[in-house]
Amino acid sequence: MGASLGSGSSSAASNANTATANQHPAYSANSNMLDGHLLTPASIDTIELHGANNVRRSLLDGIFKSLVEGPENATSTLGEALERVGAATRKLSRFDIFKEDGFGAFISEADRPDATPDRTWLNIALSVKEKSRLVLTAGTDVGNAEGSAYTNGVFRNIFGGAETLSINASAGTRTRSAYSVNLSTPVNGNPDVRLALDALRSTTQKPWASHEEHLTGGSLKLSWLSDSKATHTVMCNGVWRQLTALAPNASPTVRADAGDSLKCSIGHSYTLDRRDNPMLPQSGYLFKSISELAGWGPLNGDVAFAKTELESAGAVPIPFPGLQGKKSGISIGAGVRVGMLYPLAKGYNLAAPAYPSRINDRFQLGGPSDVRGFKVGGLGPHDGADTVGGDVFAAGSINLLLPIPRLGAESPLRIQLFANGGRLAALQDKSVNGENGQVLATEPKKVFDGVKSAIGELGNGLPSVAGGVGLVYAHPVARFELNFSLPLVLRRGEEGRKGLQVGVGVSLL
Amino acid sequence: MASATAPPPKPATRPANPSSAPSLWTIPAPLQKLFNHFPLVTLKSNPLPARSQILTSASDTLPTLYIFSSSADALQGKPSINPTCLKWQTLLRLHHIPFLTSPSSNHASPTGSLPFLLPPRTTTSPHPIPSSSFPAYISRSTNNPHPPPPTPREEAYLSLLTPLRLAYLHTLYLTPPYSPLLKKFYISSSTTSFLLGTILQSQLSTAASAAVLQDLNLHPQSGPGAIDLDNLYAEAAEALQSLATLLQESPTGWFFGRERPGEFDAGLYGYVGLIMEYMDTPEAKLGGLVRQAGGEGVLVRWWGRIRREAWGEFEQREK
Repeated sequence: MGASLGSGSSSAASNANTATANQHPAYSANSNMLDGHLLTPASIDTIELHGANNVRRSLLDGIFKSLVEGPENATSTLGEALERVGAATRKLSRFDIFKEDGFGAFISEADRPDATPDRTWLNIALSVKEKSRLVLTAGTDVGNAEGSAYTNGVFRNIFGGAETLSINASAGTRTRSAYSVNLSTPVNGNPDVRLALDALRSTTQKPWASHEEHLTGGSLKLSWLSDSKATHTVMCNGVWRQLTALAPNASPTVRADAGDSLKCSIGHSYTLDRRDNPMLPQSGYLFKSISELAGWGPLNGDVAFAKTELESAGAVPIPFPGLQGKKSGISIGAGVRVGMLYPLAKGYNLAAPAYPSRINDRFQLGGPSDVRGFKVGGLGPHDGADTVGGDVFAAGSINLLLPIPRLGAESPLRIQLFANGGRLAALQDKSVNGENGQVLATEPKKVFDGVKSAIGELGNGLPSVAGGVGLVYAHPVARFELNFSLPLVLRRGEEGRKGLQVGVGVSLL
Repeated sequence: MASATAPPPKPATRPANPSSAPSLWTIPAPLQKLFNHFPLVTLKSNPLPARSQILTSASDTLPTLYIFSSSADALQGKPSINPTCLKWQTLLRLHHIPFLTSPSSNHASPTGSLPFLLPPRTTTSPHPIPSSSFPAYISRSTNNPHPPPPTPREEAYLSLLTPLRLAYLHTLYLTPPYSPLLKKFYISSSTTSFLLGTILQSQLSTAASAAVLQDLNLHPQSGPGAIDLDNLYAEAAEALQSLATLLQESPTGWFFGRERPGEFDAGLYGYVGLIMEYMDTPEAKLGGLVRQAGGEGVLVRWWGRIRREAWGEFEQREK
């Protein structure tokens, strides 16, 4: 869903010329001829849309009616009228139910009896091609350190209002099985505001913590695109988590957390991506935040905490002398991520004792698509061989991307030099108080002090750091990296990775 | 796997076969030399999270018995509310073996059922000891010879626990008035959610029903309604009667004339202890059956003796 929200081209009036040529071939071809007449007064008399056979009339009315009936139609110039048609077409394309190369426009002068010589009336005929309404795919995936086979059914525009129903089943080496159903619909005929209902059931192996996690749950999400092109999502979540199938040598920490728990939470995420290419950023910046509130007030459930994560990344191109304004393909990028989990009391009384976090709520840090040069979950507290996670973390990375000499700046391949590191620390509490039958209950004051000292721990000594060199391939859907890395600073128990490491992901640090 | 590096070979094995052809997974010597320099700095380890410290790090020397229990009860080492857990917990206590208890669920167990013992942490994560290895563990810990395997006569009496188990399962899991008790025993300790609790409780009841039906050789699909209740409880009464008679014959007051209560005593105590604690009300059948067995309160007196032997401190605290 993020993709469908983010991929629509700009609809701001001043950006009319940025509409990509392949999206509106007819409009851009005509525009050259019309350039000289853009200031002549013109209004839209009729709009016809051909090819949208399965789309509800009300959805189309919401987009086109104001073009004809709106007050500005009576006073517009030809340029303004065409721009309004262009904006409406771009909006239509963001519903993701029409083929991108299927848009066409035909403009003719209307034969209107009440026409006056100083104003031209236009008949606009638009043609679209609907994308196939049912898409069934099956295949295999290799990525994010696992292989899987999947079948996927997408029912596009299922009720004629650009609703999408997607059903997915997959089985893999790490995510042993996953079934999900997602129904999403634009709200109020607006492609930039979508409401989605999800249901999920999955079984995932977590070898870095010697267990399997079974999830069964659902969520309701509302996403919208703000004026600044940032994506907001608010969600409401309920998940039954079951930690089971422990390895014979699972650590006491994992054994203590085995079993069932229910998480009910509300959350908000915000993404502002101003990078030129998310897979291979050469310039621009990204800001992202994820916040979650679980177990508070009416949310109930078995866990209660406030959790927030911030990420910021950016890249600047480095000019190379002698290229005369051409892109050098050299860039320096940097990224920072921080996060905190704050245990809360269940219910409304914030002064009541809180319960320390469980392994499936805590943060993990490290891995080929995260802090490189470490195993998955390689940073932070470990119990024996198990990574048990932490409540606060900070991680950062800096990398220099260099084009490969004979392939040049336009190729999706780069040589990467990187150094990255981080700290992941857990809230401490050694006291055992068995009063009132609440063994784990921790007074709010102690929670506050614990979190404070955990944050202090982030700056205690050098962060755990690794550095290396590698090859980056930016595929449109994911970024592949092959790195040779060496850990420079480690804490005892943390798992570094010496040598080669393959990373695949969509958002790498 | 995400990472394609071979683990560095152990230094000891390298000079042993210098002539063998280098495989894909051996690291060339110069690279190994480089690897040995990294990491440049190793700092002290990260301490464990609070929940882990409270639940798993109370002692560096004692093993932990994972049982069905509430976290408050487990912290104090109180008796488990599950017959099998109570059996082994009682037997370990009868042998004066010190241990901690931790509230747990079947998901934590290597065998899929509780209890199990987890030795204290060493440099690596400890391997759990399943309950089937407890007799060996007890004899090791107490420096006593391994108890002899049960004689055929003992085996025959052991089978008398089955009707008692089925009646217990039926009472707790399949009798609606006991539903709050079932919830208190097995659900409250893992979730406070009504919805999840209801799902888990119905899973428990279904599993108990299937177990009872299987033991009675009934079709698993026939449902709890197919169980002949009069017969179920009559057989339990008969079993308790036979056990009471056996106990009366024993000169020592423990089963099979042992000097000290043994595994058989603990096994029966697992059921009788819970029945006397939670199901000894006028409307409960099982409490009455235990009281009537032997006609003279033989089993009740035996229960009281074990309680004093194994759980004396808790009995006194309650008074």
